[in-house]
Order: sequence, then structure tokens, then C-alpha cells
Amino acid sequence: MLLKLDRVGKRYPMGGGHVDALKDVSLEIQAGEFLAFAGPSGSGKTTLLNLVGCLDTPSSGSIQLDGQDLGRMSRGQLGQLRAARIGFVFQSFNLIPVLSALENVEVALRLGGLPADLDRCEQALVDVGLKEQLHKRPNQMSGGQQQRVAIARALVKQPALVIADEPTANLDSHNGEAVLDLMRALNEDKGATFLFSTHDSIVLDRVRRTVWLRDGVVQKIEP
Amino acid sequence: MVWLLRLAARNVFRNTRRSLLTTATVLLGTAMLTVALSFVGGLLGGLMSGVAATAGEVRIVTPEYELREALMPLDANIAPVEPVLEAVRARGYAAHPFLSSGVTATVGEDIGEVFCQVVGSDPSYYAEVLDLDERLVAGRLIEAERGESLLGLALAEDLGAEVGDELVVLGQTQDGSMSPVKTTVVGVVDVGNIISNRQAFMSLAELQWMIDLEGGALQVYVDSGADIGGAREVAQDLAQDPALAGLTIQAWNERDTFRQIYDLSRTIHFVLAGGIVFITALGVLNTMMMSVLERTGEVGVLRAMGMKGPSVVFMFVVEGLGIGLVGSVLGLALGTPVALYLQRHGIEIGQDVANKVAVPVNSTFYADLTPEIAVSAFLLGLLIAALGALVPALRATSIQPVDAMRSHR
Repeated sequence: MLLKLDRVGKRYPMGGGHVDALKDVSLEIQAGEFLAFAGPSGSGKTTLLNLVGCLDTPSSGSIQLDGQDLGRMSRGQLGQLRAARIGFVFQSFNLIPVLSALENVEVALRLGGLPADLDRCEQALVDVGLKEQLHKRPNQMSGGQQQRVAIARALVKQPALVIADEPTANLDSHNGEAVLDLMRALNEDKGATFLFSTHDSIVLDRVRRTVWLRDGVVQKIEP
Repeated sequence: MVWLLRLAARNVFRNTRRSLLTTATVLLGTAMLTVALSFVGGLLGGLMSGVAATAGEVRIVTPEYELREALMPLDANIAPVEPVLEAVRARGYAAHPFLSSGVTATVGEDIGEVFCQVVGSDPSYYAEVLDLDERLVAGRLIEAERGESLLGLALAEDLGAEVGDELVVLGQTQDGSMSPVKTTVVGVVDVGNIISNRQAFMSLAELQWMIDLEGGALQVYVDSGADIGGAREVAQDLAQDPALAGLTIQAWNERDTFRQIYDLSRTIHFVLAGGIVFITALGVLNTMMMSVLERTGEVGVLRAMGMKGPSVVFMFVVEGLGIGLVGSVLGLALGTPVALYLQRHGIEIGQDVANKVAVPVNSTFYADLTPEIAVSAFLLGLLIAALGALVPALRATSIQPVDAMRSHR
């Protein structure tokens, strides 16, 4: 088992009181899954993604990644774990505009403490269909191409887990479908685990499992 | 580390307009520092040189005189002064005996009481140190050994005195007895500052007679003829002379009055430089903060991928320093010609204003651009950029990976 969540809760202070973004969420996620957290705005799907991506810590309950209890880790240890084992794909791509596609991918290796192997970076970009775009900068590429660079950046260090927050939100349907098909292919070929936060049907049509959330509570898991 | 430097360098060219604005801020700061520090340095340096020249690059007094100087103790004198003058001159320095005393002065038949200071020294002090021959407004310099006096312009006006009038001063001897002196006013001088212009100048013999101090003086002024910066070495050299044993030998910058001016000069430099650095650093901070806020999502991703806080600070500060380097070089290039112009032509404040200042100053203030000032301005330019970038950089470290999730939502 890759991830185990046991009665996880997340509470944020708000005004004089607080708001419970997540309440008693328990889940088990296997390695190699292609899974989405879905639900309306405010349902807690992004909060849940942040927690399993080691970007935030739970207020209650426990999360285990490969048997390691994330709640017992310091912020620095979580950072190291993130750098080494987790890849991220964001809604707004967040590529570094002054670097080429190849250099953007190279950054992930350097920050992950891995050797800056340019062949490996190039292969990651070839894998996402950007063989001809290696030296282009983000502003010279379409939104779909930029998201592919972000996917290559997330996968180049061969992470155990890829966190994708609304990856199709800034793409048209054609590019959205292409990007999701690519992710699914990479999931199948390389065995990388993908967790999505989304309410986009393009994503929901392609994931193998969907965890539906509402008001911070798991309503149902499909299938 | 090298890739971070490369990234920071590329970020400099990311938003050309903003980088130019930041460069212009540093440029302006460095140029202002170059001009302002040169001008203040020249102004205060000239002031100190003037004061030190007229009051002795090095002076020799008795220890008692130094202790009670504010009371102008006439009995704490050097008598005879001639062996001291000879010892100083034997070492290759010019030496001038100096006497001064507070008196009341009257001209003509009317009994008026004008308080002033009367000075007595040798002709070479008046001609070579005070340049009185070039400052004559009327009449001539003192030629006779006794019976002649010169008046400062302000004192002459207060007394209503003209050349040829009879000046009676009422002073005292060193034991406190009243001592009148009658002289003929042979000239009026405009010495260039309000204190000297309210003095009367007489021969050394005249003052020695008034004070009843035959062959003596209160102070001996030493002039090496070299830059006043070497005054301490001159004082140390004189201190080795057995003929001067028991006397207090002080370089100008070892005296309390001048040390206060020197400290004031340093304070003005510090406040001026600090003010310019602070204000321009705020300008840099403003543009760099915009840059950080604009890159919240990007920094969040870098943090998510494992970039540590110190690396984030390094990235932004290097970016700021890159801009600062260009701005500092250009600022120095802009400020240097202005400072050199002021060094050559100066700023005229007018003799009327100069005459109202309590210390000897020229009517034109000149800048003094030294290599130290140029290097300081350049380094302070870099400091402006570093300080301006540091606060936004520290702000950037507070960006958490989740901020990347929230950005552009």
C-alpha cells in the first residue's frame, strides 16, 4: 500500500472560530493507482491533495506514505520527502519562464538532489511528445505543451506519487483530453501513481477510481 | 549553486521595464552618494584644513594652559619662547609664537566699550598663515615693532574706526593688573569669518608688553608645510626633542575642538549616506517586492520541488545584486563628472555669507572626490540593491508550496 489515511481531519482558523475542511477521512491508496478526488468547490478535495502531497499537515488523524507516518515528520523532512518522492502538476503550469523546457525539467532533478542528467531530462520530454520543443521557453509554447513540460518535470525523478491539481482547468477540451491520455499512458507504462483533484469530466472519465467529497467528508468511492 | 546563479541572472532580464526602474533607482542612489559624499568631504575637509592652518597644524602649550584653556590663563605661558621656536625650526618646521587676550577697545575721544580679542604674533604668521596681505580692505600690514594695529572688518565697523585712528585697548597683565595699550590703526582686514573679523591684530612685542610677558607666548603654532593629515607624525617627531620636554605637543586632530568637528564630519557623512541608502533601498524594495508577489506560484512550485529557504533568498538577492552592479557602475559614471566639476569650480556662497560663519571658510565650497569616496559610493550602491532585495527575498521564503496550488485561482 502506498498511502493510508486514518481518520484525517484538517481545521483552519477563520474569523474568531474555525472551519473543518476535512473530517475523519479514511482511505487506502495502492501504488500505481490513477485516482481523482472530486466534488464541488469547498468540498475539501484540494486540501486532501495537499495533505497526501506533504504540502500540509493534518490537524487530526494520521497519514502514512510507504509506511512512514507524515504526522511525525518535521517540515524539513517533509520537504526532503517531497523533493525525492513526489511530483507536482499544477493547474497554472507554473513553469519558470526564463528557462527552456529542458532546463525546467533539469530543475526538478537538481532540487531533488539528483545529478543533472540532461539525457534523462530529454527523454522525459520525449516521453510527453515534446522532442521538438526542448529548447523553447514557456512563452513559445501552447498551454497544452506547457502542461506536458510540467508533467515531464514531475516524472523525471521517477516519483512514487504524482499530485495533479486541476491539471486540465487551463486547457481547452482537446488539449485537456490529450494531456490526460498522456498521463494515463505514463501511469500504465511507468507505473507512477497519479492523484488528481478535479471536477472536470475529462479527468473523471479517465481515472480508474474516484473519491467523492462533500463538505469535507467522503461521500462515496467509485467504483 | 551555479545553476541558481544562472537562474538569478536570467531573472534580471525577465521584466526589462522593472529591472530598468530598479537599475535607475540604484543609479540615482550611487550618483547622489558620489556627489554628496564628495561635496561634504570637500566642505568639511576644507573647513578643518582652514581651522587647523590658522590655529596650528601642531601646537605647543604648557600642560597648565591646556587644562585651563577655556579661561585663557595668561600665567600659563611659555617663557622664554625663543628656545622653543628654535627647536621647532631646527627640525625643519615653521614656528609662530602666539598670544591672545580678551580686552575692551575704544577709538577716538568717545569712551566706548567694545569687547574683543586681541592677537599678537610675528609678521610671518599674519602674512603666510592668515594671508592678511591679501585680505586688506584698507591701509597696510603692521611694520613697526610697537604702536601699530590691524582691525578685523567687523570690529572696525563696531568701533567706527578708520585707518589712522588711535586705538586704545584695556587688557590685563598675567598677574591680573589692568594694562592699557595705545596703538594706531594702520589697516583693516577682511579675514573671512566672523570670529577673526572681530579681532584686533598687533605685534608680538605689543602683546608681550600688555600682558607683561617679556619674551614669552601662550602658544607656539607649528606648520610643516605638508598635508595636515600628517600632523600626528609631526607632533610625534617634535615630542622626541629634549628642548620641548615638559610641554604639551598636540596635533590639530588631537585637540577637543577639532575632534568634535571631526566627529561631526563623520556623523554628517554617516547620516547623509545612511539617508540616501535608506530612501533608495526603499525604491528597490518596492520593485523587488512586486517581483516576488508576481512569482508567488513559481516560488511555491520551487518550494514544493524541494528548494530551501536560503536558496530562495540567495536567488532574489543575487538578482538584486546583479541589477545593483549595473546601477552602481552607471551611478558612479554619472556622479563622477558632477563631483569633478564641483571639485574644480565649486559652489559660490558669497563672501557675505562666509563672513558670518564662525570658522575660517572660503566663499566657494569645493567637492573632494577621493578614491575612497568612489569605492564607498560603489559599494553603498550594491548595499542599496542588497538591502532592497533582502526584505522581498525573506518574504519569498514565507511562500509555501500550497501557495502554488492557490495561485491564479
